[in-house]
Amino acid sequence: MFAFQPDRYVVHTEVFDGPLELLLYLIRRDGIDVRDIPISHVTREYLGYLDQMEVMDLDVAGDFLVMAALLCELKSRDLLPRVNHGEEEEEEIDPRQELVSRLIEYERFRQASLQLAERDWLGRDVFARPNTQVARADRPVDPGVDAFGLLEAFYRVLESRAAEEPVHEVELEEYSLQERVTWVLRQLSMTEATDLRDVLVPIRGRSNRVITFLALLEMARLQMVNITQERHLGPVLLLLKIDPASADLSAIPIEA
Amino acid sequence: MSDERDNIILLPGLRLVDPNEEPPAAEAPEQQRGPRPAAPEAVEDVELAGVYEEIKRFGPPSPALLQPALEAVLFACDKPVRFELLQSALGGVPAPALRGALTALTRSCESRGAGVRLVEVSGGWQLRTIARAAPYVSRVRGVKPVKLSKAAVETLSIVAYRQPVTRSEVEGIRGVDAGGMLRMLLERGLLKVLGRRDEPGRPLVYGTTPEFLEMFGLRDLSDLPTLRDLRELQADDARSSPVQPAGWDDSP
Repeated sequence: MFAFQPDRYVVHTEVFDGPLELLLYLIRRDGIDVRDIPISHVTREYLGYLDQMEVMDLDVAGDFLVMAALLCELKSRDLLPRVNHGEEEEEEIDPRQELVSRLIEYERFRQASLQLAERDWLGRDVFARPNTQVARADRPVDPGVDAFGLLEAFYRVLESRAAEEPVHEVELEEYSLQERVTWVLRQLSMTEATDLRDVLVPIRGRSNRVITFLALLEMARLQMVNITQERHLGPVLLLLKIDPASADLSAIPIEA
Repeated sequence: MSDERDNIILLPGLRLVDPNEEPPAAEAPEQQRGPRPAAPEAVEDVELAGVYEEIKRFGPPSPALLQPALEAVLFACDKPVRFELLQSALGGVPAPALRGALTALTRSCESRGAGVRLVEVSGGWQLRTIARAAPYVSRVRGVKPVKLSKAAVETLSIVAYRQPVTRSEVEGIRGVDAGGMLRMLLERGLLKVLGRRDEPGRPLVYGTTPEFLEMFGLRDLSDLPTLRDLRELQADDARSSPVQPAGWDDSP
C-alpha cells in the first residue's frame, strides 16, 4: 500500500525544535491545507521522520512522541465507524480540530518570531555606544560577575561559619585592606583559578571575612583580579591578572 | 533544576529627578540638589538626573547650536534617552524645538550618509551604527555578535505578544518544555517576572523588559509586527471562524 521510502528522508538539514514545527514543516512541504490534514499521510511522514532521528535527545523526544501518539489516535479514529448517537450527540471538542487550532496558533508566533529575527538586532546588526567608564566617575565598575551570585556566595560563607563564631572575644582585631590584599594575592598565586568560597570560608571571624571581601572588590577595581562566573548562580571564580610579586598596593587605602 | 522563581531578586526601585516636577525657577533651594524620590525609571535617568540641576543654569542652546548639541548629547549617552530627559539635558529646551531638532537630525543622518542613525527605541532616542557597517563595528568591538536560537526567539515572541504569560501557556503554544528557555531569557535580561497569577499553583507570569525593546529596536510593545500577518497559512484564527473539515478522505 504505502511503501516506506527511506531515501525520502535522507537530506535534512533542518533541526526541529518541537513536534509542532516538524508537523508544520511536513504540511508545508507536501502542500497540504492545514485545515484539511490527511491524517494518515501526515502520521506516516511524521513517524518516518522520527525514525530518521538518529540521535534522540530524550527530553525533546518525549514531546515528539506525545504528538506521534496523538496522530496515531486521530488515525485510528478515522478507521472506526462513526457511531451516531442520534439527536443527543454531545458536542465534544474534535481532537483534530484542536490540533489544527494549535498548529495555526503556533504558526502565527513562528511567523512573528521570523519577523523579529529579521530586525536589526542591537549587538548583532547595529551597535550603540558601549558603556564608557569615563562618562561618570561614580559609575560602578562592572566586575564581570553576577552581583547576586557574589552576594549569595558571601552570605553562604557567613552562614556556614555562623555556628563556629567564638563565644567570647578576647581582643579586637584590626585588619587593613592592604594587608588583606596582600594575603589574597598570596592565596591566589598558588592556584590558577580559585573559588571565592575557598578563599573566604577558611577565614576566621566575620569582620576579617568582610574586609577580605572588600579587598577582593578593591582588587577587581584595580584590575588585579578577574571575578568570573561561568553560569548564573554558579561558583564565583577568582583569576589573578597580575604578577603578585610586582603588585602595586599604593592605590589601596590602608583603612577599610 | 530549581524553579526559576528562586533566582528572582528584585532591585529596589531606582530613584531619579523628574524634570517635569521641577519648578521652572532658576534658583533651586540648596536642599533640592540631590536626587529626590520620584517614579522608578531606567538607569539612564539616574545618571542624567545628577547633572540636570547644573545644566539648567546654562539655559537651552541657541537655535543654531540645538541640533549639534542634541547630536553631541546623544553621542555621549550609552542608553536610549527619554524625550523629557533630552529636554532637560539641553537646558530645558521647549518640546516643539526639540521635536524639530530630532526630526532634522534623523534626516541629516540619512541624507549625509552617516554611519550612525538616530532611532527611537524603548521609549527613548539613541544613535546607532548602521546595519551595513555591522561586520566592521563588531570586529572593533571585539565581542561576539549577539546570538539567539530559533527556539529562543520563538519563546520571546510568544511572551512579547501574550504577556503576562505563564510557562505552561508558552509550552502550550510551542509544544515543548519552556523552562530552560525562559530561564536563559531571564538571565539575559530580555524577560522578567511580572508576578504571580491568582490561580491554582500561583504560577509566575513573564513579560518582556526594556532591554528586549532595545535589542530588537522597538519603540514600545505596540511597535511589534501585527500577529495576524499570516503569509503561508492563509487561515484566520480557527476558533473565530470554525472550519468544517471537508472530509478527511484519507481512508486506509
